[in-house]
Amino acid sequence: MSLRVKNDVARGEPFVIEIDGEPIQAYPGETVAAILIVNRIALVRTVAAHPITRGYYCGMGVCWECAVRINGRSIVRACMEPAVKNLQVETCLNVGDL
Amino acid sequence: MGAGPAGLAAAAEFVRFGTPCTILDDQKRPGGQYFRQLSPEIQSTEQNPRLLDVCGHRLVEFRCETTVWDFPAPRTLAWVSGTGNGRLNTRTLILATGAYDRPAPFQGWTLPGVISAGGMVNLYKSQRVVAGSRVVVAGNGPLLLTAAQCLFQAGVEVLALVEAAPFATQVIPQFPGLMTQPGLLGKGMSYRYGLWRRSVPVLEQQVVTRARGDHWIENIEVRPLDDKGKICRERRVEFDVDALVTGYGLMPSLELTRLAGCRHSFHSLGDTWVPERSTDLETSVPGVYVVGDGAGVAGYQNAMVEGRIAALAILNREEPSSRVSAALKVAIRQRCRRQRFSQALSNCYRTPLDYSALVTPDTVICRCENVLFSEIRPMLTDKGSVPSLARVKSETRAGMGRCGGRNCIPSLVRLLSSATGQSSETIALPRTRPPARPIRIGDLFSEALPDPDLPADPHSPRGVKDR
Repeated sequence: MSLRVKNDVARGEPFVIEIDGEPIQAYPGETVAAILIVNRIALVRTVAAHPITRGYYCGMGVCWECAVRINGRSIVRACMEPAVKNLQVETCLNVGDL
Repeated sequence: MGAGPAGLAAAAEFVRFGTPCTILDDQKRPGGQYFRQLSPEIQSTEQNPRLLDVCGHRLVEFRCETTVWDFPAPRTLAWVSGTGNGRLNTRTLILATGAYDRPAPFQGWTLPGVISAGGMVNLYKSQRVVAGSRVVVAGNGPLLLTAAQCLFQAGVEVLALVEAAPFATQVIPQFPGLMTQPGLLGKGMSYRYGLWRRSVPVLEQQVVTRARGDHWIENIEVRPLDDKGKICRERRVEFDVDALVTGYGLMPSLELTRLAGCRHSFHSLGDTWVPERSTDLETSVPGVYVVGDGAGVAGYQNAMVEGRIAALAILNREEPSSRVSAALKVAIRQRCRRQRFSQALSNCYRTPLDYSALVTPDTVICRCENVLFSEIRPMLTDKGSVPSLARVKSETRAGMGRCGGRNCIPSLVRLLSSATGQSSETIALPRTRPPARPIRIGDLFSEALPDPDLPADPHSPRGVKDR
């Protein structure tokens, strides 16, 4: 099933954003975090040369687990960032990155 | 401060009596968590609650996407927004900062696809997106029912609801208290009926002890608890899932009341510090009021009454009138009823679970700094020195990440308490320092800051009672 619920709601025209160089479909009104979840994209971080994966957790700006780099600007919480056309998202941050 | 149910209800009273006010909130749109709105770009027939309209009233200045990060003076707040920064001097201040999901670490809880109950509800409310298609909802408390309800509405297969409390046996003696709010009781019962009608197994007095997966959650393990709260090692069930929604109740956000210098006392049932308040909900700092879940979690209906009480008390103090004081008396009586309900509800969800038993050596305790329990344990059991959160923090960096310790300090308190036998209220919390939220240094360059006003002993937490 699609993780985008269709009951009782109508979404606008889809557009494309870029996540780690890959084109990914998005809908108006969605946050970057929602698009990451729908597409099962994990955030990979490096801790002492070991990769760990993280993702959306609190959904209200508390935990910063969904931190990404957007259009070269870091650190941005994906759960607070609305997706717009041609947005460039980088998911690989290191622990302690600024 | 805060445009959730409590803050908006306060603003609505000011508007009713013709008094101007300013609302600050760090989100884009008003509503807080409970009244979180669907994105305006997504069309729906759903109506926004009328309470939100107060933000557009001519007497109300609504400043969204504004983060308050310090109180340089008791009623002066320092703020940053996307477009600037500054100080706001207030005559009276109502803090309505709300609550967040209480962390309860277990093996694998950092895997993508494991999301908090609040996070699941928000995702559904604001974007009509769900976290998975085969989901288990697990933890403790009424928010799990709300999360399950969102998943049902989305047509998701809920494999089980795992509740750490023996709810079915605890609910019966609480009925008199629950009956004080028939509307909320009915809602809860309809949610329970929804689980039964869809044949979703409700596994009571059980917990998720482990989540496994390669890069995303794939499988979880559930084990029963005995009556003393110990996890049974002999029995277990597994579920193959693509998401796990987990929540163990809510924690009040205390950073700002602590920075404001309010006195706090320990609330044992909630297992947390809460700001001390008068019947008018004023804190120990004159002119600073705290309302809603940020002062102790009791739900949105209680939060709205508390917001009204604070606003009416302020109005009555500024310009006493019989109309205002009569409304204040009514609101205070209503609050007693609301509190009776939330007390009864908390009693239904009392769990014997010993949270430290969920933690394994490779469990991440501090998510931001990726600190494992195995790195913290030596400091908790070291006979040569007195274990303290300050030591854990300075040696491991647990609590020094972007979340400001909100996702690990409550767990560290429980682990320290369980390792040393100290009660949670005797464990000193690390000092809350500005900024209360991460902000950009660049945002502050245009501001001429006076010298900081620090206490003589830098280790004493601001606002927590000296002992």
